[in-house]
Amino acid sequence: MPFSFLHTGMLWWLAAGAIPIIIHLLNRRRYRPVPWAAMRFLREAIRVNARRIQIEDLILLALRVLVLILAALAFALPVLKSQLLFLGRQPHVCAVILLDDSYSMNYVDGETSRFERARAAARDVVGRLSRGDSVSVILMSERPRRLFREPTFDLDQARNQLARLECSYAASAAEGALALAQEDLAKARQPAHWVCLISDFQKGLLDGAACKALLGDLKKKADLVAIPIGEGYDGNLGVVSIETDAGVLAAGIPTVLRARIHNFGQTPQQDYPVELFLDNQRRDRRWVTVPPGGEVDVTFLAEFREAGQHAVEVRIPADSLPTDNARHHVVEVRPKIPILLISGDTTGRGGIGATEYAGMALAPGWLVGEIEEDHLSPARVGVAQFRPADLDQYPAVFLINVATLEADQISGLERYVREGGGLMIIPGDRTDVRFYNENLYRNGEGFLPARITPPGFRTEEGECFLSPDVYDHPALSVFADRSHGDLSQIHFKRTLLLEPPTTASVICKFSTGRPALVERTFGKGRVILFASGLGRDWSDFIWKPSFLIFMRRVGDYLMRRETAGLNLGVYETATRFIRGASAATPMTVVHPSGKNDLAELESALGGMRMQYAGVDRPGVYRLITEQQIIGQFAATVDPRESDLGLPPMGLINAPLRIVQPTDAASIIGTDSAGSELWMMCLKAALALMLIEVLFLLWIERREKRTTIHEPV
Amino acid sequence: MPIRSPYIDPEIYNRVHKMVLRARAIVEGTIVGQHRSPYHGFSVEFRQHREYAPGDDLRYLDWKVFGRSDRFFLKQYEQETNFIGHILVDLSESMRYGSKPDQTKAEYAKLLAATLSYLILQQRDAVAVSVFTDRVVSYVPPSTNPAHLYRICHVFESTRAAEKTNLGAILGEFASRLRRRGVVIVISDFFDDLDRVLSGLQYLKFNRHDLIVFQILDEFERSFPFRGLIRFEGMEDEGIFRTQPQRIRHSYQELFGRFTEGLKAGCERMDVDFQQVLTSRPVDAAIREYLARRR
Repeated sequence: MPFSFLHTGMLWWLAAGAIPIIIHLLNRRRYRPVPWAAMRFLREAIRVNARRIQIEDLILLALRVLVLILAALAFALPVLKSQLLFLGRQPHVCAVILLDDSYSMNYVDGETSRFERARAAARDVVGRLSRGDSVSVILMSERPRRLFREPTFDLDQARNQLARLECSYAASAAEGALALAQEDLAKARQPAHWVCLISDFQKGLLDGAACKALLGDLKKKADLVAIPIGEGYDGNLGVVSIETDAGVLAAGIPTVLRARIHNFGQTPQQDYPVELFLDNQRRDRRWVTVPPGGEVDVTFLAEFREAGQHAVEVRIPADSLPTDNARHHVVEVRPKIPILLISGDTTGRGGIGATEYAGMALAPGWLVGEIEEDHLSPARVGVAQFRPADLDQYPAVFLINVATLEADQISGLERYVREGGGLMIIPGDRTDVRFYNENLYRNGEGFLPARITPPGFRTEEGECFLSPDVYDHPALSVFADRSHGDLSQIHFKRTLLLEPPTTASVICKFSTGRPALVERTFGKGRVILFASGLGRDWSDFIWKPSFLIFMRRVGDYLMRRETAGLNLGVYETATRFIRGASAATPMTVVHPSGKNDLAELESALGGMRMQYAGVDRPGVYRLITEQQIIGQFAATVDPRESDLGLPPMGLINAPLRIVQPTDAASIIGTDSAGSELWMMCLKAALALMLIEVLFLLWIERREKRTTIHEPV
Repeated sequence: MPIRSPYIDPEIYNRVHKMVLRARAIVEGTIVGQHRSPYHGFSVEFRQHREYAPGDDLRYLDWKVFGRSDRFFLKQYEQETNFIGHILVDLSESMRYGSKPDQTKAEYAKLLAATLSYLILQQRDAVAVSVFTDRVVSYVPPSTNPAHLYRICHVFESTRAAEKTNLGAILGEFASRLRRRGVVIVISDFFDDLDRVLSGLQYLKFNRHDLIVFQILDEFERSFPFRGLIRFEGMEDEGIFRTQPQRIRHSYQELFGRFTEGLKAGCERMDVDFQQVLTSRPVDAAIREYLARRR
């Protein structure tokens, strides 16, 4: 339809056009009766004038109806969607600028960064707007936000705020920003809508069904323009991750730190230096060769002598995108790592049962009290003595050959896992399968990773071995190197038949293909269920060297809970429970930029819970209270943003009109959304009113002509 | 005891008391009066000479003419007589109109007729009154008795305007009834077909009556001063017309003027006295104006 109306509700007033007709019809009942004698002259006069009067009446009626219709149309703010701009005035514009402030816009190609040029283009666009136009600036990233709460008509203020705007460290994403633009357009009262995306248009920025739907919708309502920023691209290398083999590190125990370097460019990078910093001290340097589009893992061996939280930084030489040239990581180092073994065993022959085998695997000197050399510190507790309140002390828990649990024990374990704890369940002779299925599995609602087939244990014919070719899981990857043990040499006499739901994953199978280890993520934590027991009647696993390694790796894997809250994404809210802290003691967060912020504290059982929402750049944030560092956490950027690609790849197949940044100031007005016709309608209504008055005057003047014949 | 009637207004009668309505044409009377009679004799007023014929009375020989021309001529003299004034009053529906409720054309016509009757009677002439619509509704035969006026007024009081008019036909009918020449006064608004009206007057004139026409009009009929939305309801079943009168006033006035001018011109052609009277004008003033012009 060539017409649209901004206030469609006012179109109801078009019905007012019927008012003159209704008045005309009502007037027919308001004629004053007069008896008349000289009817022959009256009849003849009417006959002579009937046509003229009819035409005059029709003209008057049409004029009055048109006046009302035009007035109603004017109030409905009609817009003509055509190029016939001469019909109306240039419409006021509601401009929505989507300015990409993802950190890829920090890429410096040429003398300035892409963001600086995008900012300048945005200011040019705002400078082009005129009085009565409004502008809304939406910062387009995975953290979309408006620069002004409402679209502003203060264009000078908008330009000033744009000049002060800085690029964020968020990854790029368009969906949220497009949704905000849609909201702004829905509220806009101006007839012309104009949406301008200023971005480097990374590959995939506008992909996705939701983005395409939003763009399609915006295209119907507004003139969609893209200003691609970024002329050149000479590649980019970034540190995309830092990992430790164990979630919780022990003091004095060497650990492996693995940094991954990605070459996002088209040329190979040879002998590229990669440096490791521990607590801001450079500790190591490696040289790597990274193929184009590929990545390499750089492995550092690090040892933290003191317990506590330590900052790890991996740095590469600066390039055009500085944000990803360093990556930070905070690790938790403990003097000993306690692990809880909940046992349903009565002590076996020689006082050693499945729980003891597991404990000795975790800390070989544990049973005889010589665990100084071990970083793990198992603690055995009988199921009857198990108190759920103690769970928070342990980063990992093993449930071994437990028959049943009390209701509070079940709920305690469930809460523990949900909040990030790691749990391994090793059945045994005592395990009550029916109880497990009904109370721990609960048709997939509980934390038990798989249903155990009733009526109970099922002994398979023959012997089963762990499948030798499934070492892609972090807990088992060590066995890829056969020197650490060969799982396929383990003889299982008895196994359980597990039926995992789709929400669980099988991380290891028996040679028969049935699940041997099933893992399920439950809340923030994870649970692993073993399909066999540790007693001699079950297998010879406990006699194999690989058993020790298996238990320690699984323990390390489950202990990742301890790292929660240490490493965040930028803009996440940092939370930390500080045991023993009080509200009277303020807590300061030292920002990577050096500034100090006060953290929000709220009371929690046994201490205070700290919240800090000022994580707005990558780096290490330190928590200080009473001039002592009590912790730290690291914030990192999303490495996907480092993949800049050749701009503007994200514009391919997007329904946008592309305008170069140098032409940014000239785009408004060249392709208007339409012509505002309300003024024209109002003028036409006034003109018709004037014509009606003149017409009435003309009729009246003619009527005043009299030809009275004097008596003869 | 004096008789009260709305049509006997002593003030008006006092004002018209000394006026005289003379018959301009020759009228046929029965007694000696003020008006010329068609019956020639040997009265005091010479009219013409006529050649002597055997048997003529020698007393009327004009010897002076014989002395000069040696031929015998008789002198003829006009005889003065009284006349009968026939007053024809139109009381059709259209005469019921009056812009003021107490001043309808019918009432005015009755008052005018009564006043003229008084005028005729007080000069010892006879007066007869006919009230008509599309037929003769009532008739008062001629009489010279002054008390005859009360009879006329009584007829006026008992007659209301009603029915349609058909002037052409009714005037023709009167022409056939009134064989004796006299003064015929027609009082009407003449709202009928002009040709038929003139044709009816022509019939009367054909009988050599001294014909006087009073056209009674209301001021509103002439000026048509209405405004707004008016539903005109015809008084003689002519239907209803809704209009805004101001928008047709000019045409109406033109048509109305054309009609009255046509009526006047037609009367002049037939040597008929025409007097247009507005009901707003006092009756005696209208009569005085007419008589002054007639003189």
